[in-house]
Amino acid sequence: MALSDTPAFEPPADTASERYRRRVLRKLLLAVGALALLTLALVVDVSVGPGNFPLMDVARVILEPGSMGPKLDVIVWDVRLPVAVMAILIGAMLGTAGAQMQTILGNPLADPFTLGISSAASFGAALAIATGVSLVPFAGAFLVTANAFLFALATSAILFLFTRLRGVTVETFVLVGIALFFTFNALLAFIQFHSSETQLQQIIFWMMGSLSRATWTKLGICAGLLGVILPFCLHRSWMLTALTMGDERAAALGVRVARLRLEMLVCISLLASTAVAFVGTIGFIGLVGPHIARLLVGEDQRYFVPVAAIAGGLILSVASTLSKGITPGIIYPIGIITALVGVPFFLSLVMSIRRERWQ
Amino acid sequence: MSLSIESIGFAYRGRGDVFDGLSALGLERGTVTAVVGPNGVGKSTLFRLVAGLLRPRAGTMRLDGADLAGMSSRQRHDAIFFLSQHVAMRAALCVFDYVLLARKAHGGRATREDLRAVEEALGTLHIDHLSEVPVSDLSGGQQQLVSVAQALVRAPSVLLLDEPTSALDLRRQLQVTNVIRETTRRRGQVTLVALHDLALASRCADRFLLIDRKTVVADGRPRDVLSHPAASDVYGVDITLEQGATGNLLVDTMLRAGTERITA
Repeated sequence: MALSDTPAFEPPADTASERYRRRVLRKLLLAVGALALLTLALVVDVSVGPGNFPLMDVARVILEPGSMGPKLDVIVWDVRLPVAVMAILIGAMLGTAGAQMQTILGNPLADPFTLGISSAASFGAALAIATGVSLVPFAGAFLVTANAFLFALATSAILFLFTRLRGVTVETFVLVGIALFFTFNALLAFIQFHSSETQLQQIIFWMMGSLSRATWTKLGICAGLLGVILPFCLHRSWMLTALTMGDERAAALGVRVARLRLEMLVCISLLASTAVAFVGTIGFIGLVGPHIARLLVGEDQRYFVPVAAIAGGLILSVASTLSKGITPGIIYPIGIITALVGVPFFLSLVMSIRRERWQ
Repeated sequence: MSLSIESIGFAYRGRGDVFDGLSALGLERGTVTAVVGPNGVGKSTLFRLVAGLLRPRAGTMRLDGADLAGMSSRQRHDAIFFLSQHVAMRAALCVFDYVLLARKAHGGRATREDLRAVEEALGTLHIDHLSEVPVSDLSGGQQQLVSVAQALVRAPSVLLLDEPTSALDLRRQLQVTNVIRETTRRRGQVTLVALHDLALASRCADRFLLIDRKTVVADGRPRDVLSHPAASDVYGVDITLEQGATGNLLVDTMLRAGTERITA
């Protein structure tokens, strides 16, 4: 295949293939390192609270329940661990959903809530708090959660139906999402306007987000969802990476673009709806988690998605620790801390990490 | 053994016909065919139809006798590779990974053979020194070379290249068209290439398809098509052909009187 006016191709000693293999190894090591950091963050999160405990003691109780006495056992396993694990799982869910939203929309400014999913959930929750009206009859104690989930899911369903229309482009799809976002925000404001002082307080607190609603059942649901969706995304990783070349190029390579986009939208909706229903609105992570992953490993989805999930989990875990540690005795709403702490961290990362890191 | 396009009819939704009875029979393996014609006559549309990205309302396309419409999506994409016109690359991927993507879009582990193919394609186009560079940092011409490398790492039966040299300098244009010719012959591919530079097209191609008015208006050897009166009429220019000192066809063009200004 030599060019007629140039010498035949001779592979150099340090081949591009070898450099590729080294790059892959570096990315894998980075993912493993991030996972180790996430584990440390979990232990730190559990050890911080109204009474601080040594890290080693906490780690021992987690690994060997009952080894440090019943008091610490109850505090760790019944009170703090569900919250700490919830922080990681919700962060990972939002990180994954954000990564896929940015991929399918080809827009690094997108996040799981771009298309109005979070606004719909907030409206559903507010409706349940203010009026007791729910899409789910006999929801009982789960009235607010169920309503938030169903409104978020219904919004996603509207978006799915919209994608089935002929001639719908990504741009019009985003515009419809933005229209839904503003519609639900207006409806939410309408409910807030007519709510009593107590109801208004409840609505606002719900919207700020709280991990204290964590239970082992909810954790099981979140873990199950991630356990299915993450491997599915990894199975589709080459196709998703091909989307970065543009729809026509990806389609020319045999990627069924419309179907792939729809599959990912289902995944995003399930992840975002469940996250919002369980802990309220926690923005920022779905936007920043993927950006951190992109800075570290680039957009090869085989590494991008897992690292975005780990980054999301790490941010929320650190935010959870800080929400308890800033003022002793007070647990700040996680939504506030996430953005306040996350923004400076993210900016410092953007300024300090050069793109060469993922090359 | 060849690709045949028979009596194709196609219209975009809500618009008039792009093609009506367009035919190009016996596009032989091991040959390069240049698809030429003025802007907007449907060269890219023809490629999209062959690639299966658009569906014709009439006509058939056969590869080695098999109807393309009867192939599964996977079979068709394995058999045909379409390189669309140059697009800006914005992904956070480096050149090596970007080229590898063209072989792995269906999934699976990147094998030693995959990596070797990418390395060879980059070496052939003399862009192996760019393998670690992010594609978004490349110039337009370099990005186009990366796209051509994507075409080289595949081994399809049919290669469709839409303006593969539009952003390249003179030397690179000649290098790329040489690679296209040699690869086509060696692999026994059917290659269709859309080019606006008629002189370059005549050096690269064994056959010309001149498209205008929804069909093929001239089909044959480059010299025959360019000397056909239809060629001058289609472009609205006077075309004069000469034999260069190196044996290449020189294409001299001059605007016809009264067409110096752009009116549409």
